[in-house]
Amino acid sequence: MDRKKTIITVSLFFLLLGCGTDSTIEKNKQDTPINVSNKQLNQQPSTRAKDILNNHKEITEIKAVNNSKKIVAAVKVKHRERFTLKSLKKKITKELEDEFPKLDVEFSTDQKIFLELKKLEEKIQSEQLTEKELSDELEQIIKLSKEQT
Amino acid sequence: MADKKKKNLPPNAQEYQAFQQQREVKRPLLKNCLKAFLVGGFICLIGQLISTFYIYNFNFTEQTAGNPTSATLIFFTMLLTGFGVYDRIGQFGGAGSAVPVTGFGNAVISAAIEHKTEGFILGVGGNIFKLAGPVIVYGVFSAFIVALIKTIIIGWGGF
Repeated sequence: MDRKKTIITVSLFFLLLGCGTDSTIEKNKQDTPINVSNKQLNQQPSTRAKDILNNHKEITEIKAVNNSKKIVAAVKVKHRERFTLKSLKKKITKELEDEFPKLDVEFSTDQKIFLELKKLEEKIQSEQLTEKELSDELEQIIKLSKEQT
Repeated sequence: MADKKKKNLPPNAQEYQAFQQQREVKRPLLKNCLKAFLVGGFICLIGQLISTFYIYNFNFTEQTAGNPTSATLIFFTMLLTGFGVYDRIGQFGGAGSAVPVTGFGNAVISAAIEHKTEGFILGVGGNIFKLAGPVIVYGVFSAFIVALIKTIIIGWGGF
């Protein structure tokens, strides 16, 4: 009987452990400094996109990169919000498209796209990229995000 | 059905059944559920780790990492089944080890091992999907039904 009680208590503890709120969220939203120093690759639209996405409570981290024709943004969302990922994606894509009518907007919540954009941002900041290389990398990322199987 | 059968039994057999039901060891339902939950959850955790590994080290997105992940899980299950480890996990975890994709791998490979004595063609080839066959049939069938319902709701419901 005692063992049963212990098992129930322990399992309830584990079940309820998942319901805690994240306290680590707000700190790394704006983790990339505003990058306009790189004259060759103007990243102002991306900075603007980050500002817009910062207003969403569901989003915890943002990465965005653009060239003259396209802008690609990826975010990490709070774990509970993953249930409404589809509608969130739709809403934010529309928001970004309204903001940047001249650019092709690509928005993703995928972990891989987020990682790739993070690498690309680092490359831009260390100024190792030419305009063409940036475009090629962006194309690669867009292609990756469109893959289904 | 079972009640009908019981009524047709002679009285002493009915008596015996009542006696047996009293003495029978009850299934520890809650304990089994907990075990299944923990074992199934642990298998899913391993799956998530494999998936993350593929995302970080190869060119897979969350969307596309699912296929290699299930393939890897099934491969490891097959090894474990061959070495006789998965049977023990199944004994302990019950449904928790049967419901994830690893259970499917186990069903295929254990049937193959069991019927190896009857030869490779009619033994292994004929019986390898003995357990997994119904899973495939009803999986496809229920997917079809669900898709049909979804199509009707979206098409005619105006959502």
